[in-house]
Amino acid sequence: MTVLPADFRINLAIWIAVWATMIVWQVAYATRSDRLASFGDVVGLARRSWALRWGLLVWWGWLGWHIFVQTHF
Amino acid sequence: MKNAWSVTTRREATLPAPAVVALFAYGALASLLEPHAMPITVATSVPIAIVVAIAISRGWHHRRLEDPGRPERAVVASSVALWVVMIATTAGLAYVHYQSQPRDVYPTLSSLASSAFSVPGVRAVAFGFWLWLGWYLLDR
Repeated sequence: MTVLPADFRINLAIWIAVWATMIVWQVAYATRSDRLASFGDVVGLARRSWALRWGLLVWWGWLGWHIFVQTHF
Repeated sequence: MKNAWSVTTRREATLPAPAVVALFAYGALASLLEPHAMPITVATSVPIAIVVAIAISRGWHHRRLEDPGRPERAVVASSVALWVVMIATTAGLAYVHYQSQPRDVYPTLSSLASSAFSVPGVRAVAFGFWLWLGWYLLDR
């Protein structure tokens, strides 16, 4: 049972829409404004917390391991 | 200017161009290695170990990080909240896709990546970007 539609193309479109929203926000607005937070600002804020900065580092290590060591091409 | 609706954040550091070239050159070489084998395991483990060692040397294990001394600026708090919503949406979507089957109807980021990374050039750029992201997390 899932809330997602049983159609690969629609699910792919959902992924593209989510990523496009973040990329467009980052490129078109956040990096052109001194008042809007960019992704980097959010990372910078997260680093102030011990748990969040180590969580980010663990996530980064897992990401590389998962994509480059564990994933079949 | 900081007010009740804003938060302060440091300005970005930049990585020198030769270092960026070196990261992507390493990524290009590492991307030639086959997954599930010792060489790629080493090629991926070494940057992870280096980043963790640098993090510890910079006092990441202490509760409070030293200020790197870069100038600060105030950003609108709601724009930070928007990022939190977008990141949470992505994480939620990833979880729902991961829990759904079959994979060829409900793609995860991993399954999409494995298709894209079958192209060697894409894999090389992705490896270089991953290395750069490690530096970014350390230095941001």
